[in-house]
Amino acid sequence: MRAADGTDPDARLVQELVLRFPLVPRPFEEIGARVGLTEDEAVARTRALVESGVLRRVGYSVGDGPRKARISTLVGLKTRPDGVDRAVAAIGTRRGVTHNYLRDHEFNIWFTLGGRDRAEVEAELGDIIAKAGPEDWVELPAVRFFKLKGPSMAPERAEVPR
Amino acid sequence: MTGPEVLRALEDGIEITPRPFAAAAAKAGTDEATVIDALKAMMKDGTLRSFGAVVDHRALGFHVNAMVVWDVPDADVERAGRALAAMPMVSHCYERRRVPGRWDHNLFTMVHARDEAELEGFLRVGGEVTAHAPCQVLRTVKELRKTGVRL
Repeated sequence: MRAADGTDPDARLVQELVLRFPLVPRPFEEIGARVGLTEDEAVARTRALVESGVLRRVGYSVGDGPRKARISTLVGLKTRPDGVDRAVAAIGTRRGVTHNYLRDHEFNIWFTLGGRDRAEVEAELGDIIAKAGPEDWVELPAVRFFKLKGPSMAPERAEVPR
Repeated sequence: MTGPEVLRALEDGIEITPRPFAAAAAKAGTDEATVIDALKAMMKDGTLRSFGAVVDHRALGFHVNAMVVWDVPDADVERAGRALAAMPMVSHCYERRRVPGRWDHNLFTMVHARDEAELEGFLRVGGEVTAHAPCQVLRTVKELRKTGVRL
């Protein structure tokens, strides 16, 4: 591990990949030029960062859009320890579930659920709850966003494993 | 070629190759320029929020990740939310609807710390920022799923 002091090429590469990925035919050529790498080097290092798990993927994140194309909500389940497996299986790999975490709280399973509209989300949630069988659950739609994916996601203050 | 088809072709991210949009275009049966133009149009109209690499917090040295929730008076949510959002350890900050009596915490912060000491520091400052609003810490024990939205 090396601290990101602004000179570590991988840290600078990650920063560009996260914050300033260009939508051009040869994005790695452009990013490589910014951080002092050839296109081939930028591709190889990016590939290594994905393979080592530092980067999950390079792609899009969905916004709210002018048409409010999708809605999303947060659900917390209070599940007995011996019921966790059943609940996790019920949430499974449904397309609408983007995040799912086990947490150290009496409400121990938290997931986000999205869909085209409220009716779709409610139907999916009803099905999940019926199958998961939690002791209690809460559904907490967002009212207001103050920050989404802030600068801490960029490695300015992180270490990039080599 | 429509936006949704481009999104579908790229739902697991780009291939890490010199011409990633040409690769996606080949998969979707169109051409590179069409894919790039569709992505730019969707960035502009807000269908997409961002395009770029998504990092793994743990791999970057953030070993303590937690959802920290606060019960802030409604009249103070705007101020407290902005103040918490400004803290570098916070990646996401939302106000969410309460479920009275079952879930009274209305301000949610996703916090990424290198270690427990750093998280404690966040809680100390966060406590001051929220005028010592009741707070609970829900550490990530295990990440079961994290993907981009799949349309």
